[in-house]
Amino acid sequence: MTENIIEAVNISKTYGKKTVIKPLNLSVRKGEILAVIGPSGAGKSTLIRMLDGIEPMSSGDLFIFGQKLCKSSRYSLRGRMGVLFQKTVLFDRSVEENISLGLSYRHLPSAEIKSRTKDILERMGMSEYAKRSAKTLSGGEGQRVAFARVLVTRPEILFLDEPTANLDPIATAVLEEMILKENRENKTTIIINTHDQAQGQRLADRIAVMIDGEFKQIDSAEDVIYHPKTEDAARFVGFQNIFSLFVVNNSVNIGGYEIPLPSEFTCAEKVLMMIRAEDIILSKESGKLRGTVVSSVRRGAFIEAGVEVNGVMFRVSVKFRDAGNEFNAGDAVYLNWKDDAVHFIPSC
Amino acid sequence: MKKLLPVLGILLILAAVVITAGCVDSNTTPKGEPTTLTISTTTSLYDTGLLDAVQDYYLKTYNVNLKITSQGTGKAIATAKNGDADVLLVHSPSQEKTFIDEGYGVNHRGVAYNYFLIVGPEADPAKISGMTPEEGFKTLNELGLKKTEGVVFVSRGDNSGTHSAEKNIWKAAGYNYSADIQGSGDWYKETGAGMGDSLTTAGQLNGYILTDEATFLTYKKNNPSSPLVPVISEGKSLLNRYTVMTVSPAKFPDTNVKDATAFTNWLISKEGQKFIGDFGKETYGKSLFTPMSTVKDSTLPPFNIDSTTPVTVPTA
Amino acid sequence: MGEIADGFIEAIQLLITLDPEVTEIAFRSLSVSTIATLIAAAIAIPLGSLIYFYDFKGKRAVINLVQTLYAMPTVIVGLLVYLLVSYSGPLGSLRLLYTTNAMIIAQVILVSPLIIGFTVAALNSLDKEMKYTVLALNAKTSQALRTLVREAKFAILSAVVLAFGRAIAEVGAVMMVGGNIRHFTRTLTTAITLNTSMGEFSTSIALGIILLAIALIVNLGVNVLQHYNGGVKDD
Repeated sequence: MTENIIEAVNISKTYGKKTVIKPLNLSVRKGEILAVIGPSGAGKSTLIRMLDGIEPMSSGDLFIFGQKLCKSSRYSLRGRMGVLFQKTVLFDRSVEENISLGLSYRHLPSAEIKSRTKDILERMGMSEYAKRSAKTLSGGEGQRVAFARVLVTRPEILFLDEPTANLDPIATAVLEEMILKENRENKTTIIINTHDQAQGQRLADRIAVMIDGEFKQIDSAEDVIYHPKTEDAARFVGFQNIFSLFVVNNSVNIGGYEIPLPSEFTCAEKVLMMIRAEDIILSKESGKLRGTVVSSVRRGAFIEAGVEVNGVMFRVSVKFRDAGNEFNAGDAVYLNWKDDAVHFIPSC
Repeated sequence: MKKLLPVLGILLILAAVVITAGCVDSNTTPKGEPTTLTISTTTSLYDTGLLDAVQDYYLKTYNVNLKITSQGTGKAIATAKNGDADVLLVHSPSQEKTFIDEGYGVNHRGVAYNYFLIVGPEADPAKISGMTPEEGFKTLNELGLKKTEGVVFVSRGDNSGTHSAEKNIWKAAGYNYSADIQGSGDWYKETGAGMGDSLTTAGQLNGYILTDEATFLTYKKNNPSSPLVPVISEGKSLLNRYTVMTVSPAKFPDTNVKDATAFTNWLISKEGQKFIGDFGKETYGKSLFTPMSTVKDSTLPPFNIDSTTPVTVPTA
Repeated sequence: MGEIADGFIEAIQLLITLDPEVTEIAFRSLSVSTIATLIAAAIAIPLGSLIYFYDFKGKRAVINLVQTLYAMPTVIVGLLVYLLVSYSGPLGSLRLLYTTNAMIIAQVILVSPLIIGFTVAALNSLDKEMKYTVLALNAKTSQALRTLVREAKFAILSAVVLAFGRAIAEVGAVMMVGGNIRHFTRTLTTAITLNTSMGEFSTSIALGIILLAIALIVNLGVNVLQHYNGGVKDD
């Protein structure tokens, strides 16, 4: 075995005729933070349950800590891992009892259970909550108790399933800080599911994009966000403008503007050209392409506009503060972008 | 935790009940651990209350707890044949004979007798009062088949001793019971129930019914407004003879033959016969059962049963 | 009408004076059904939680069968146990027929399906995530079941109380295997049957009042439990 702490080979999950996870491979290094991003329903939660040995795999082999996960090893392997589920489940007991549950399952001496529980409550700043009934906590407090309940078992691998989905921005920031701290101080390997690519980018060393039960890409956060490898991965990380173009003379033509291709694409017949809506700059005076504003909708601090250029529709997002009321439907505008904002992938 | 208090309360009450309930049986035992004798008997005997009185007296006097289960004679005999009883106390001469012939019963002794009655509505719509039982049955059948207003006959229909006696009367009247009587029309109704229940049914339907005297008296006492009165109370075929048998240790070796023998001897003893003869005098103004010892020689017809020779413990 | 009124007056007298026979019968009913219910609970709650916990082939069919058995006629249970414990039956040597033990066996068989089914339903109504959470905290199967049953305690307890109600109100089975023997196996229901057939309506009414009072208490108990169950869910 390699030094990978998780090594999944062709693992899949089907319920009857429905395939939730297509056979996939995954290697995770010790001490790494891996974010799995993807829309809800992509199979992220199922993947975590499979990796923790809760959900039996339909096929494939899974090695955790270099040991094959099977019926006989499942229990002992799971003892070295921890999961924070998307839905916070608290038991109808005190906060203290909730937190110590995993320790009592492991039959730790009661003195150690007590001191560990006390420590974690202090670390979380929740000491005064110890005796309270867990059912009386708010959503954010409950989430912290659930997190403490996992951390107190000192997992070597920590799975987090959409941990901030139901939290406000401040509580999210607090929890993200705790996650990073846990990784830093205890070298805990962390796999975090999130539908928020920005969160993935903030926390993870690597990001895996999961769509429809398969990994579309596993790369550094930088590459996943700026250099997606498939159309749906690109769409998920926020490329709103994706055009399928024919390659002519090592270059493509978009709305009359010619762009030379990087050398590695010269043999392709067709490519996907993509650019983020917020990477397009609008101008009244000059630019790469000239078009007409078709629609203009204000969303918060941004204006989302549709601009038609010779039959091609571009989605553009500009800050309201920059654009003011200058770009209205029917106005003629110029489109501009930085050359490195455009990303190509071969299309078949 | 506060929420759990009522639950705990309920559990505590239940627990207390279990503990106290465990004491009830021991309260009824005055001295030492009483032995138990299981008696399978018929409802017509049990429902009069005679055996409850015997049970109390016998426990007090002999420290033997009589465990009495009552069913129709057919089922009572089946219970004994399954080995689930030590003593059989019934009133069906033909079924008793089969039981003994098949080797299930020994120490057969006569205990008491009374008469079956044909009871019916006071108005007697079939006008059978004064007839012999056979004539009465014949008339009921003829009128019933003609759908005469008010003529209904209620039968136990449960293979009990009383049912058996009823069948014998039909036979003596010249009928094939299963072919001519059973299911012959709306006039003939089988309840499949005990004597008390069947009397209640007959009362509700204003019908005729064959009943043992004792159960009828009990029924009348509890239901003074019932329309039923005795219509025919004389006739040889109305004799109702109660006998006792010990379940043979040859069939079931671990029955309680010792207490069974003692109990049989008590039943035919002076003391037992007086107990039976006195029963009901206070409540009904007359005895419900006539002790067999009042008959000069019960081995002769129509009784045909030894009721005086003490029995000895049977062996396998 | 007079009969019923008289019956009631006599019944009240029997109750107020704590008639020893009536008291004995009531306590026997309570103890037999309590013991039977506790035994049934001890068997059925673990069984129900195992059915809930494991996914196996035919699980749906098993649950359907259990639910069908809720309505199992009491006389069939009676017949079954009778054939089993009769001296000529396979357990005959234990001499159980016409004992309270036989009645307890019959009632255990009668109410176990109810508790099994309601335990499965109570656990199913817990969040699926709760099962995952317990497992992820490294619970062994037995530990997981204990935690989950504890979370569903109010729903399961009300099933147990309902089962007690069915046990104590039942007449067919205890009549067959208990034999309605005075001072041995006579219960409220068999005594009511006997006294009614003997025309002793006042005793029947007195016993009926006790049975109704027990049913009322049971019902109140279920209501209290369901109240707490609902209250917890609303949180």
